[in-house]
This record gives sequence, structure tokens and C-alpha cells, in this order.
Amino acid sequence: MSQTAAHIADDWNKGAIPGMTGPSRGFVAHVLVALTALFGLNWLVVTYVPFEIKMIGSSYLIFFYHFPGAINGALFYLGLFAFSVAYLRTKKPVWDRRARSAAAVGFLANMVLLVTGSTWAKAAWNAWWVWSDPRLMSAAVASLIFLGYLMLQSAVEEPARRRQISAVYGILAFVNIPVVHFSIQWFGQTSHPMKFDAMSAESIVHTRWYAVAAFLVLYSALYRWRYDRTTRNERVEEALNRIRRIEERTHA
Amino acid sequence: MSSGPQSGPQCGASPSATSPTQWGAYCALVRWDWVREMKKKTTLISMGVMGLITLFLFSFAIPISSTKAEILEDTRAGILWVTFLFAATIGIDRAFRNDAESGLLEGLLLAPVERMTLYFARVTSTLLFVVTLQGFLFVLFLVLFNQSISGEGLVGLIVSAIATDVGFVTIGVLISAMTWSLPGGDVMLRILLFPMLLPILNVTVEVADRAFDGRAPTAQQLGMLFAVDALFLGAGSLLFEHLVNDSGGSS
Amino acid sequence: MSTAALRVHSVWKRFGARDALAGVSLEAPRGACFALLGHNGSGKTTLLRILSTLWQPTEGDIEVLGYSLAKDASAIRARIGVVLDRHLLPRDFSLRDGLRMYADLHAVPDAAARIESLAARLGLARRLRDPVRTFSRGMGQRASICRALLHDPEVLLLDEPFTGLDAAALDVTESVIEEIKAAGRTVVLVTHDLERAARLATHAVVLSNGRKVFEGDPVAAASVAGSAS
Ligand SMILES: Nc1ncnc2c1ncn2[C@@H]1O[C@H](COP(=O)(O)OP(=O)(O)OP(=O)(O)O)[C@@H](O)[C@H]1O
Ligand SMILES: [Mg+2]
Repeated sequence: MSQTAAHIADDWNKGAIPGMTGPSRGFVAHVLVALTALFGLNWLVVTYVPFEIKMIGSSYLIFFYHFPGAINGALFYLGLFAFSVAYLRTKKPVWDRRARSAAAVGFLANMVLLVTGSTWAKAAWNAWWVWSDPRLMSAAVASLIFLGYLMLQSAVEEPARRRQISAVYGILAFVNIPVVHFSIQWFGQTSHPMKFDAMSAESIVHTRWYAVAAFLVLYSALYRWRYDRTTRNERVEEALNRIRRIEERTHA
Repeated sequence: MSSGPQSGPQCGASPSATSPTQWGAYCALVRWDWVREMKKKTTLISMGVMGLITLFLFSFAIPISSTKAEILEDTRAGILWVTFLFAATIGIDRAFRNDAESGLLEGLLLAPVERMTLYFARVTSTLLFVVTLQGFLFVLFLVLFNQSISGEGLVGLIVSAIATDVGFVTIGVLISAMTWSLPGGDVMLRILLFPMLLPILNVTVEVADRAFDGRAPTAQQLGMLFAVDALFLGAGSLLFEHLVNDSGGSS
Repeated sequence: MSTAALRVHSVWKRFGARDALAGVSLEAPRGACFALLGHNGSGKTTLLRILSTLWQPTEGDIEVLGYSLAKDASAIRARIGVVLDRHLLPRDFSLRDGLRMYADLHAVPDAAARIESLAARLGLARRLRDPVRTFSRGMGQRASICRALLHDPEVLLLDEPFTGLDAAALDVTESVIEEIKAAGRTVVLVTHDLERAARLATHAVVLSNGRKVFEGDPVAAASVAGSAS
């Protein structure tokens, strides 16, 4: 009997059951910085860059919200790739949690890219969707590929199997990005030319990279939120499993 | 390829542990896959019939009459490839599902064969089915849609189709190994597979379009297709073992 | 070099909340017939599947014939024969073709003769041409034993091999096990047939809820397993 008690204590001490604490101070600060940075971006867009540039007009302003979607999306997809590789090498669930969180945020950035792109298309070409635009197309195809990753999460029931399949798919999805990009860039129907050289003014370049940084702060806050949440859920699940095991052992 | 590690213990009592070379195992797997399919041809027949039905469905989508022949000229390459895709996916979906359900997959996993060999063998046999199917559907397409193709165009089409199929099947078999065990795995296969194929379809449809006009594919187009093949083959051979090996369970 | 045919060191297999194996260790010398006993759900099949390389342990180390399960799985597979609950033969093939397929995969020399003699031994000589899907349960089990013996394995892993067998087939299976033992090879026998286990086995382990509760003499093990359930 005392041996069973020792087992229970041992099992219990492997990890405390996580409390339902609110967001940490660090996280709140992170979000505040993100909001301030975005406010700063709006301020720059209103005051610093020219309101209109020749041949493009004012609709180009959406570019400062569009471009970060592309860069940050790619960055988080890169994270998904790296975390998936790490998971397959180590089989540690923490990498799967990181991969899943990165995929969700990457997908969000991808959607922002698509929605702003589509809005821009409406302003520039008077159509929400332009099949012949290679940027819209590759963003859409990439979003479909990574949507598959998110769908896999609920499709596989057994957790260890889910992690394995997701990691493989995550790697595959990332490897596909250059394929998507080049095949559509090189072989799409001739697209509407975008006059990017008109946007090489110093103020525009500065604001564009500031926008990437500002959104990166926001996306990393979201990543952190997702990661903390999945970590907590898994801890709770583990704690429940421990309780079930203890229960069985005391019955036996 | 050598078989068996040299580091293992000497089994003096029994000199019987034979393990085949990986090449021998590969050939055996491909041959027996083919023999198995030829017993009943269920997969080939379902793929062929599905392709036929898809071709008929396209006749609704596109107003095909003698006065509008040019519409068909613009769309025929796409029709052909979408038909190939829908039909071939049936075979890809079955690359593991049937064997897993009948228990045969476990038997294959118990054989002294590297996982990579198993993967390449399955890719090869699936590729054979898909190419056979495409030959049949292509002739059917020419007849039903009253099309013709020049000899030069045909060569370009065949080369590009095979280059596309290799990429399609390598990635398809890999995803099939992910989805066969899932509830609703057949739908999931398509959801995961089709977006990954959009880029190469984009290229190969353009090549097919040129082929119908009697023009050869450009070097850049073929280069793209072969590069994708190499990329997918590399990814598939590295990743496959993670899908068929047991995960060890969660802690 | 090790003389043990099997070495299992504190193996765990975890399915979510359930520990199918909780720290099992055991060692079987070459030439042993090792009986794995225990009630339903005690973890016998789980251990056998891990030994067969189909499953990986959540934790723990395993060596089969001195090869590490984690590193040399392919070498192990070449040297083991496995009988599971299903016969693993292609259903639409004749028995002969199904066995020939496995013979090819194992590079069995002189496969045709070997198939003939094994089938004759297990009383399936006249059914070699029939599709496996038409087999009765006992015939499927006999076919499964044929498949497992095809490449003359050094270690035979048997999960309830006697299920569905008639008296004649039981005798054959028993004598096959005796021969394998005599040849210095190893058998792992999972069964609920305690009498037979006591008669055939040289070593025995009783599992209960994934833990080893008894190890030692087969006759004593059989009585432990008999009283536990
Ligand atoms: N794939 C699985 N998923 C979840 N739990 C499993 C799985 N396979 C086995 N188990 C569990 O592991 C435990 C051991 O099962 P196992 O099949 O090894 O038992 P066994 O000793 O072979 O029983 P039997 O005598 O009935 O064949 C059982 O509690 C079972 O529910
Ligand atoms: Mg069992």
C-alpha cells in the first residue's frame, strides 16, 4: 500500500496542475507595445509618406498594411518549418505546440495579405479578385496549403500521431512555397504590371519596413498567446491523464 | 546496396538470416503490386470510369459546338489535366488505404525492407497505374472532343506529362500515407493534395496548351517540372518513414 | 557479445491516459520458449508488437539478437517471424502467390519448394491454389504460421497462435515450436492456453496491467496467471 502511495506522490510531483491564471504582465506589456507600434504606423502613413504618388494614386497606402502580411507570413511559415523539423528530430511535444502556434499566426498574416491585396485590387482594377495577378494567386495558393495544416489539427485524433503527421505536412508545406512562388511568377498569364519603382521614395521604404516591424510585434504577441494557451491545455490534459492513472492504480 | 549491418552479432547456430538487397526488394514490391492490381483491376477501372464521367461533365461546363470551336481550343489543356487529376487521385487515395485495411501493410512493414524502398516501390507502382490511366483517357479525350495532335506536340505532351506525374505521385503517395488512417481521409487527401499541385498544374497545362498547337515545351518549363520532381522526391524519401513508423505514444 | 535472444529493459508504452506497458524488463536466452501470460488487456500483444518492430516503445530499450530496436530494426525484421491476429496475406491472392510474395521480400532461397513443404506440413497443400479470402478462420491461422516460418526465422513471435486450430494443427504447431527450440532458436509465445504454455515453455512471465507480476517457472506461472484472472 505504501508503495502505491509513493507511486502516486511520484506521479503527482512530475508536474503540478496548472492554475487558471490570467495573462502575465509580460504578455500585457507585449500587447501594449504592439498597439502603440501600430498607432505609430498609422501616424506615419498619415503624416510622413506622400498621400498620392503618380500613376497609382492614394490607394497605394494600403500597401503599408499589405506588405507586412507577406514578410511576417513567410517568417512564421519559416518558424513552422523549423519547429516541425525540430519535432521530428526530438519528438518533444513542445516543438509541436510551437509549430501549431506559428502556423496559426502565419495563416492570419497570410489572410491579412489576401484581404488587403484584394481591397487594393478593387481600388486599382475595380475587381476584388484578379486571377491573373501573380501576387494574389500565390498568396491564395499558399493560404490554401497552410489551411490544410490547420485542418489536420482537428482531423487526427491520437495526439502522437497528430504531431507526427502535422510535422511532416508542415515541412512539406514550407518546401512548397518557392514552388508556388516561381511557378506562378514565371508561368502565369501576363499580369497587370505594378509600378513598384514609383514607390522607391525614401519615406515609403522607411515606412514599409517600420510597418513590418510593427506588425511583427503584434503577430509575435498573438503567437505568444496561442502558444501559452495550447501549453496550458496540454498541461491540463496531462494532469487529467495522471489523475486517471492514479485512480486506476488505487482501484487495482 | 549492401544488406544488413556488419556490426551485428554472429549467428553461428543459424546462417539463415537472408535479407534481400534493397533493389531486389524494390523490384519485388513493384512487381507484386502490379500483379495484385491486375487480379481484379478495381483501381484502374474506377479511375478510368471516373475520368470518363469527368470528361462528360466538362461537356456541360463548356458550350461545345462547331461554331464555338475556339472555346475548346482555349480550354482543352485544362480539361485534360483536371480530368487526369480527378481520376488519378482515386488511385493515390488507395495507395495505402486498401492494404492497411486488409492488414497487408503490416506485413510489408514487417519485411526486412527499408522504409525508403517501400516508398519508392509504392510511388513506382502508383505511377505505372496513373500513366496507364492517362494513356487511356487521352485517347478517349481525342475521340470525344474531336481533337488531334501533331507528332511533335505529342512528344512534348508525353514528356511533360510524365515529369508532372512523377511530382504528383511522389507527393500524393506521401500525403496518402498521412490520410489513410483518418476518418474522412479520402476527402482530407484531396484537401491537402490539390493545393500543393496547383503550381505544377499551372505549368503543365501551359505546356499541354502549346503541345496542342504543335509547339514543344520550353526549357524553362521542363526545368521547372523536373526541379519540382527532384524536390518532392527528396522530401518524400526523407519524410515517409516518419509517417509509417509508430510514434511511440504520448507522455 | 550477448547471448540473450531478447533483452527488454524497462519498457513503457503509453496510450494517452493508459499505460499498456509500465516498466517491463525481461531477458530470454537463445533456445528458450518464452511464454507471455496474463489477463485480457494486460499488455501481451503490445509487448509482442514492440518486439516485432511494428510499434515503438514510449520509453525503454530493446535488443533482439543483439540488434538495437531503435537502430537496426531492418536487421531484426530479417530474423524474426511474426504471427499476429491477422494473417497479413493479400486476400485476393492464392495462398501460393501470397507466400511467394513474402518469400521474395525475404529473399528466401528455393522458395517454391519451401512453400510446398511448409504448406504440406500445416495441411494446406491442397489449398495452395485457393484465394486466401476463401479460407476459414483456422486455415487463416495455419497460413499465418506458414508465412511466419517462411524465412526460417531465428526468433518466432507468436500472438495466440493456437486460436481456431483443430487438434491436428495444434499438434503440428506444437512440434514446430519444439523443433525451433531444439535448433537453438527462440520462441515468444503469447497465449491463454495455460496447459500448453506450461508444457512448451522453458521460461514464463505473467503480466498484469502492463506490469510484470511473475517471472520464472512456466508451471508456476501458469497457476499464477490462472488464479489472477
Ligand atoms: N491502439 C491502442 N490505443 C489505445 N489503447 C490501446 C491500444 N492498443 C492496446 N491498448 C490498450 O493497451 C492495453 C494492453 O492491450 P494488449 O492488446 O496488449 O492486451 P493483451 O494482453 O494482448 O490482451 P488480450 O489477451 O485481450 O489479447 C489494453 O488496456 C488496451 O486497451
Ligand atoms: Mg492480445
